[in-house]
Amino acid sequence: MSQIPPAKATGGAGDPSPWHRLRLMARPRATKANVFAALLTIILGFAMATQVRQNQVLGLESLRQGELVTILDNATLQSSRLEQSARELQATRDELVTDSTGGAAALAAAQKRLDALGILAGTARAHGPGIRMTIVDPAGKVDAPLLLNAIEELRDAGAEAIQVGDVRVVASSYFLSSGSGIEIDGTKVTRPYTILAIGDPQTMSSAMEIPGGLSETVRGLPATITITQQNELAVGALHTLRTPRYARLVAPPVSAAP
Amino acid sequence: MSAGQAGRPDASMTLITEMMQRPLDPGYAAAAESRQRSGLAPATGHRSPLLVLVAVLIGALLTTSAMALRVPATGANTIKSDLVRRIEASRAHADGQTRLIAQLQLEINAAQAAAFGQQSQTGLAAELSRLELAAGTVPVTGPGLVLTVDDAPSRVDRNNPDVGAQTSKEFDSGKVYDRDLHAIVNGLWEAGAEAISINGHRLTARSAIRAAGEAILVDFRPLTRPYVITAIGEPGSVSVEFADNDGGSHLHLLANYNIRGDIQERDSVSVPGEPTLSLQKAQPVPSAVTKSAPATLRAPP
Amino acid sequence: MIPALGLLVGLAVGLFLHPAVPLALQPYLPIAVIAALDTVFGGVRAVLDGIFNDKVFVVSFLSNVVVAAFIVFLGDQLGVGSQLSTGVVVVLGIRIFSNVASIRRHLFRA
Repeated sequence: MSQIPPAKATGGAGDPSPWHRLRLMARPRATKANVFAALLTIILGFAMATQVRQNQVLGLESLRQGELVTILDNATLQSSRLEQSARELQATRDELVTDSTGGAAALAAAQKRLDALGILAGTARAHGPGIRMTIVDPAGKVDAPLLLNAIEELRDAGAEAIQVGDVRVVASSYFLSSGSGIEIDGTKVTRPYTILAIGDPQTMSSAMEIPGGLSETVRGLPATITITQQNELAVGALHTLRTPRYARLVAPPVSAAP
Repeated sequence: MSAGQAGRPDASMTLITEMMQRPLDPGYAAAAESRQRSGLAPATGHRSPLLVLVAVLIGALLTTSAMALRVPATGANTIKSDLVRRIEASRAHADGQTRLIAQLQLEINAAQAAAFGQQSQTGLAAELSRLELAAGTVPVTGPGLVLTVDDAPSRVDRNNPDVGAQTSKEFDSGKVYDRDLHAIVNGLWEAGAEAISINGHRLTARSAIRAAGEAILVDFRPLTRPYVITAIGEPGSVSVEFADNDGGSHLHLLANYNIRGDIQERDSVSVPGEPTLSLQKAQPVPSAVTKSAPATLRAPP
Repeated sequence: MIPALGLLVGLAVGLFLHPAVPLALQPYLPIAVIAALDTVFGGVRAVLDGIFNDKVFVVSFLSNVVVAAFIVFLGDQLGVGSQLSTGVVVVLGIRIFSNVASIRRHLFRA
């Protein structure tokens, strides 16, 4: 193996120092070798970037077939829901843009959006199909993490408005195990716990009954859980909206008119 | 370049120097020397039958092992890769629809702004903006913190899907599960966070954090590790209260299993919105209270 | 030329006959393949150096394969199978690279 000659930092005339050599190399010259070298380094950079991205992409391959099927079902469902939303918004947008009704259409659309946002923010009452769950827990074995898990499972099954006892559950709801029970958003909920959720009744009750799901866990506590599907359910509890003191909108709420 | 000189600084590293300087079997050199001494040409011919036989053997060995060791494209594997392909196609489609929805929403807002301006319905516009902020459909920014949590380092073995398939039922103490994220996010809300996102997905009233096998999904979208939780809230206060409450103690507990959690306060973070948030089944309850008095939308005492 | 033809014949034989490898030997196949590749490249380099000897080639092939497989087998029994296998692969890999570099110098003078 040849030995690399030690780098000589000389100031001698005609003997370029290493920095000078680097500068010489950095000067672009259109020789064939340079072009080829550039091409190779471009390919190397591309390969590195792809590999890094490949490493970060989630390995769906590590899941089992059953889980993949579930994810595919959910993804397809979400996709068609998004398509429907897009279609509705498209219709609204077209209606507003042509606006032959003198602004009334805009107001109606805004009101409809306001209603939906109110339900999502917890400041408006809602009604629709859903399920009613009652958890009877004489020994007090149900704790906050269990209820929190129940809420997440309900959301995963498509619940749109949820109420536990007299408390409306929204995005920022937090669950606490306090001395004698459970608090949601600082309000105590008493046993037995009654949970109302508006959404597709079949999907939600199946989600509760899956192996390892909420029903199985509750029954193993031991406690009892009853789930009834209902065609018409009302979520009447309201959430007090606190004006955010630190979060502010990124862009002004309305963009310039096109 | 010989390795036999006395006093060479790497004389003790004979293994490595031997390997690198004399990769060729010394038998060749020795045999060549002895042949030269007895007057023959140093190299033998290429046609000896023994050589040909061994060449055939080597060829057979190469292909046999290649075929024996190839990962079989079993029926299960092809089904799985088909499912993965369809999932990714569906997700790409969903992303496209999301972008379209965000765009349409912007246009609708603009048209409404124009109409509101004409009809002097600024109250309605303000209410809309307030609820959009609360529901999480619009991006927000402000002071806050960034909490990063990741699996324990020894767990990282993503290249071995068979291992994952067999052990995903067992509890792996070094892995971050969905219930860990539940506890952390719950703690952040309790500590006063005003908006939270995980890996760029805003948490809304319909957001579900759920595990499917090895992956954690938010709103049915799988998360890549590490999990970066961004929260906007009162600087200083949120992290202190979080450390004190159940969320903070859960994070502390996870540290015992080498699950790394790291909180950084920032003067300004941004949390994206979820423009696709919508309702399918829930309808508003028509109430006697007129809609033009939003201040009355409060919980009854 | 003839040995190269022999190699091709062997490849074809393996491809078409598809002999079944007993399950017990399967873990040692990768090591055997790498050892075989090492001797092949060593042989090609010897040809280019002008000192090729078929007896040495045959003996080194057989001994490399057997010894490599034996080392891995021993390692498995002792519980350090994967580490020893890594060590064998590293050494053989370095030798392969050195021989290939030498071949390249002969052929392309680069």
